[in-house]
Amino acid sequence: MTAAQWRAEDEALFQRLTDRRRLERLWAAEGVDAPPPHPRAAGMIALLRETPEGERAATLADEGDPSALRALVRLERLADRRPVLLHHLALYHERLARLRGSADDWRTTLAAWAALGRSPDYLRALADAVAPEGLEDDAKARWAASAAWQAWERLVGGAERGAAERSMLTAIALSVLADVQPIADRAGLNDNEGESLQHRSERARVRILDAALDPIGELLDDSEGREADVEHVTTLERLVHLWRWAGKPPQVERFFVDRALSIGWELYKAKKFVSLRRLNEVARPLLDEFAARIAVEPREISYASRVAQFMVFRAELEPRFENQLAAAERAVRVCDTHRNGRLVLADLLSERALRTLEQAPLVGRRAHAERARADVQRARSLWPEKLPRLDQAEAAVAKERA
Amino acid sequence: MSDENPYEAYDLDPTAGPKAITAKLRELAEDTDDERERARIREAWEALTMHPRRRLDLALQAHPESREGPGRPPRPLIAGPAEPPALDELVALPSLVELAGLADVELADLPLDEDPILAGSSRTPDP
Repeated sequence: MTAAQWRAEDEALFQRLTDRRRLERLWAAEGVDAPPPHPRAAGMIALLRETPEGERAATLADEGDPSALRALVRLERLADRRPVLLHHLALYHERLARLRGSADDWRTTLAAWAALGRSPDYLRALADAVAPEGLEDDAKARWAASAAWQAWERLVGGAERGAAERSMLTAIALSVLADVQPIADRAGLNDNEGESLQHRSERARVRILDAALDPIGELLDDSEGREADVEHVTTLERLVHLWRWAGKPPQVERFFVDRALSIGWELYKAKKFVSLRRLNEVARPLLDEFAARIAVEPREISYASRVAQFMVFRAELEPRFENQLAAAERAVRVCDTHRNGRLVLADLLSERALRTLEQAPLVGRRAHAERARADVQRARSLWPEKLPRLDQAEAAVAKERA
Repeated sequence: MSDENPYEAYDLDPTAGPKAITAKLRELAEDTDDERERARIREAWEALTMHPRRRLDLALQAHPESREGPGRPPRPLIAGPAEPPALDELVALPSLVELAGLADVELADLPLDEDPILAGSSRTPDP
């Protein structure tokens, strides 16, 4: 009679079945209400078991504690891993990302795909194995060179499609793409690859934001033939909400200024100050951020005069004199050649000089007179042309000195 | 087609090639009476066999097979026909009682739990 033996093949089959059970335990620990991935994903566990750390994690999972395995599928450094493991990890985390809708899962999957993209030989071998016929060599080579970016496109494409409704995927994509350095670091990309990833993410964000801006742009286009009023301001409010929701991107700030300035002028000329004041209030945080960025980013200089004009509107609308003056100062700081900004600031400085003299006490007037003189001097340097209030202030200062 | 990758939905090996995929999907289609399921199978078949590029994209989105194969099953443990006894098996075996020097021991009529041989001793119990 042949004696029963535990063969190497039996051990392999046993491990294959055990890895499948480990995969199920790992998946259960992820806390996602969905069936586990295809049993082939258990190959990921087998690959992780190739290291002593992986073997320990598998043993712990067998004992009912998959936490070490869960940590192991979230490798911080993916650069030196086998492509087939990267392929498994990329799919595993993409499944999680889709089910859970978490930015971290997307970062992990994109890092795994980016790391896999550095193994074109693996992808080319996959192409040869899956499509030995029907595709030319160069078509397969092109596919292998770009295949790892498909997941990126799935995220960006999905985000674009959901942009008008401000979907969760769109919010996640904008957040993930705002800073791709963690992805580059995890995937072990070199400087050139990292820079390319950065450019790719910037282009992707532009696409997504364009898709989010499109319906608002269409509304503004539709309302262009009508007299500017509450309807226009309401649409611009949606734009500000989008700006806030999307993480305050400069692209939306530029779009706002491009579209809102003409509406602001129309409201101003038509003396619709209630609507203009509402626009001013709604847009205040957006314009403040934009103004601050113009001060430090030379490439935004082309927007300086337009943002300054919004500050001039604000200077004219503020109920308190100090705030009016502060807004006018800001207009000139944003764009020191802005004609309206200089005019309004000169006017307000003249007003302050007159008030200073008016409120000056009989004793100790000198300090007040000095402050008034300084304001008038500055106002004149800002506005050398004729300006009634400035002329009046100049005369008052001269009289005081006499 | 559902969101599930057809390679995984129908447990197909991406490297099996269009012929094997067609055979497996045909088998599945024949096994079902559900028309909608049959339509899904047809859709999967088209995606996996008509467009090589689509086949590649779907293979990329399916977990690769990296597990060790299940291997060859063990041969069944079947007891063969009884073999004829060898010559040495016909020889009378020596008496274990003699080998243990117990041939002359007078066995008392005792219950089994007090039997000296079973108790490991030839000593007769004390009266």
